[in-house]
Amino acid sequence: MAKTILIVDDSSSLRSVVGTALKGAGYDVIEAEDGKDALTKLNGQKIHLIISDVNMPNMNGIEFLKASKQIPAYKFTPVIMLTTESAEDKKMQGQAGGAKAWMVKPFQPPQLLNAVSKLVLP
Amino acid sequence: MQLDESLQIYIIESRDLLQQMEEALLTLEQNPEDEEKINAIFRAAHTIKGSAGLFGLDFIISFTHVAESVLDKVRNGQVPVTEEIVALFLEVGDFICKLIDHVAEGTTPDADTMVVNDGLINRLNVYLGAPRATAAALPVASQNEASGVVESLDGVETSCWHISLRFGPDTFRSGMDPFSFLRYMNTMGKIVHVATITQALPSLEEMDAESCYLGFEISYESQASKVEIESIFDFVRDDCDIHILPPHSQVQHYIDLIDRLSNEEMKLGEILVKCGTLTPTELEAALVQQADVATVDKQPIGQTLINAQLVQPAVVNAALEKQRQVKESKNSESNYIRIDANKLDELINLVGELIIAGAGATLIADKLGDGAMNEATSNISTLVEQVRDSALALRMVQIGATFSRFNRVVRDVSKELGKDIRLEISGEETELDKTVVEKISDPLTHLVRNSMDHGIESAEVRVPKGKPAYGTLKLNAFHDSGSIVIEVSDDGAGLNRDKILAKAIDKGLVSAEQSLSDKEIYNLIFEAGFSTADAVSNLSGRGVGMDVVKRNIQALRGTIDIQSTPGLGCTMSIRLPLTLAIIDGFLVGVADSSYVVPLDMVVECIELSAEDYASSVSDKRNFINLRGEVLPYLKLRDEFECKGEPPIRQNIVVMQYANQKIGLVVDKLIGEFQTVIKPLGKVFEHVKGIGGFTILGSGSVALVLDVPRMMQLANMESIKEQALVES
Amino acid sequence: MPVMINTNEARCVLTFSGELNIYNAAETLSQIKAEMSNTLPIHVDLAAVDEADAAGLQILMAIRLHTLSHGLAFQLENPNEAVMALIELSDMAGFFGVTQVFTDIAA
Repeated sequence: MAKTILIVDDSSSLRSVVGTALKGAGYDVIEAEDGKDALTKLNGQKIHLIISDVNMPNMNGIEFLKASKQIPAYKFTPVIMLTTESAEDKKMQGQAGGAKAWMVKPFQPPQLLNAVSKLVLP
Repeated sequence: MQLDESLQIYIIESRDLLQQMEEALLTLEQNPEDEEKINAIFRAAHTIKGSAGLFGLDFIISFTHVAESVLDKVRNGQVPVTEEIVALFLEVGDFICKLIDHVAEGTTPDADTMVVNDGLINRLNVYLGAPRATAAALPVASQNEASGVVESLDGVETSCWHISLRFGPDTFRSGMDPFSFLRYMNTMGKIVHVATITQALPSLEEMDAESCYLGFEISYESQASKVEIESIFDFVRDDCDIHILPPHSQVQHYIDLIDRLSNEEMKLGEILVKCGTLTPTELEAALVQQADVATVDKQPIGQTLINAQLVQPAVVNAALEKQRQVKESKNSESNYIRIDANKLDELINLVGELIIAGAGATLIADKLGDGAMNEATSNISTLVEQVRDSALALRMVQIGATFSRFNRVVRDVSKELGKDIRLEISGEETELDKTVVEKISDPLTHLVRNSMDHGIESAEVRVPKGKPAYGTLKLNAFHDSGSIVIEVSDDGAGLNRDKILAKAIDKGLVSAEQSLSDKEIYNLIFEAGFSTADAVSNLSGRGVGMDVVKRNIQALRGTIDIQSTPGLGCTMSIRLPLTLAIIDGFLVGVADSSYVVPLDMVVECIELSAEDYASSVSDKRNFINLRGEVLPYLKLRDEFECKGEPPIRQNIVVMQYANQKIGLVVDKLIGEFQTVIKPLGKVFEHVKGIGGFTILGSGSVALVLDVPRMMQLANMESIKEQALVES
Repeated sequence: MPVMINTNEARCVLTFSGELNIYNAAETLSQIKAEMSNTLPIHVDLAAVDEADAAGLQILMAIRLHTLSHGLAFQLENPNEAVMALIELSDMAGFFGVTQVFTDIAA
């Protein structure tokens, strides 16, 4: 049974590249363009890993992280947060208690695959 | 059974450690947060276990291992420091002590001991959340837990990495699964062997399902670099304990290992071999090569090894640094050596003989009247005096160690009596002769128990009197005119004068008509067969003891004194000579005989005026007015029934002891004299006022006066009364 | 209900089903704390477990340690693939006494 990964990012190109890489590695992928969109797409279904950008319109990554932890089905779902070296992102990182896994953009797809497979093997 | 020397050291070391452990436990009971003490206790158990391995003392290893495991949990905060834990470990300490006794006697524990052993292990296992069976099932895990990284050195021999993982409690909550990392490891290499560490798992009742308690010891085969392996755990590194030991020659790894090597002094090559950088064969080859080179351009072994490309320069530098550190610490360590006490006694005996022989030489030089000879002997006696002082100083120990044992006594006895009693210790640094220390412990124990039992009231009695509910017992020591004074005081009810007197009359110790001062009445408790306790307790109320205490103290040429304030408490002061062997004496002459008094007690020497002497003969008056103070005196001539008439000018030597002064009337003052006290034979055991004898330089004998006893003989109180009447 | 606990005179049988993981670890454990016997042999049946993780296995470890400290017999029955993979990964087959795989259930 393939593992399902939710990827949340406002950049459609990033979603596409990452999504392709993950599918190629054998994961099922669900895409969402911001926190709000992601919450609707979660919809109670089984998710093994969430990859989420920090800085997004509508609902940013930190708010989404907190919201998802409120839902019992996702309380213990591992999350990889995508961030940049920008001051704004760093400020937001400080508010994200609970998130342990961070990846700094830009990264190459194999790096992300590596990080993902430490948490969930396909 | 002839015990090997190092085993003897192990026994002494273990007893010291157990003593430290007990002290730390008692501190911990007051202050459970004291991490330093927790560590001290852990280290004590760890060291005892560790060294037991060297001697194959399996019964000690198996017991201390369990104790150590529990202590490890205490140290990690998994088991809180409670009263029960402290009590259990006090018992554990006592039991280990018993095991050490077996080692000392060269016996193995008997069946009874093993029953205690098993009982304690069961109680310890409660805190481990797993019975012995589990510990046995997971020997790999427990060994790694106990002995840390260095033992994993074995792993260096193999081609495997050794990875030690302890996951943090929040691992699950942050969405991480330890198994996902293990699975991932299998994509980068191969897990050859894994041992799951369940030691940290609490019992089902105490367990929190969402907290992670797991740990793993993993033997891992991989071509990946240390950095790559480390990166596997990037996401959990913050709150997990991760150690990765590389299998191959990785410079930093070896440097780390060198840093962790035990502090034994080693040669450079040995250090490198021990950390695995160098194989013994390589070292041997390098040494041969070094020896072959001509003496002129001989290089240090480190350089030789680097040139031969056997070892990286950084590793050699680290090893050299380590060598230097060890040498430095070795130097500071060598400030202390352990010496057989008998050797010291022998030395002091020899010094005694040297003093006597020296005095003989001085005397002969005097007679010869040769100036140069006199100067030489005078130099020698100055040196001999210094040798004597240093020899005696070797035997001087601080009383603190004796005092701190009472922490346990007070704790245990107060539990037994159901009283809350606190111990305050002061003057721990006061020094006295080791032989005195050994003999004072028993009397002191008795006094402490007596104070706790009879002196300090129960809380119900104390509180209405406006006293704190807890009682305070104080131990104090200080030096005072050539003696050491040890005080045991309590803030209890004080001695009951009337009750003591009534009891003494009842027992026929004194008659009802006798008029006695408070002090004399208090001293009655030291009479044989005296006991005031209404109910005989199992501690100190058996009616034996206080008289024994007094006798023991007198045997040490000491005295005991009581000060008591009704309702406020009581202080027992023991006064002892600093040393039993050699003293600075003051030599006096009466008729043809010589007598020695301790110089420390001499205050001054004055002339006995003809007028005073006349009245002593006519009125039997035996005191003088010393600058407005009454000074009772004893005429040694009379005391020792010397024949012949006294000279026209007699002298009084004013002596002070325990706040009392007395004068000794003598014919002549001879001067200071180093006195080696020799005990009197059994025949003279009961002669009062004489503490021993000494041999003068001339070969003749001088008696050493026991001043405290002479003061008693002088019956000071009645003399003072007489003086009052006359004035 | 992640676990069914049936106790008769002879033994206490814990039948796990569905997910044995962090999502229901708390519920599972509280049920076990409330209902599991302290005196009877413990049988754990894992036939119906289809997913497991470290949090789930940790509960099984705690049960096993509990039986060891209380001197109770313990048997792990029908560990299916999901659980067996973890037991093998952690090398705990000996610890759980998993010798016979796929014995019949006799509850």
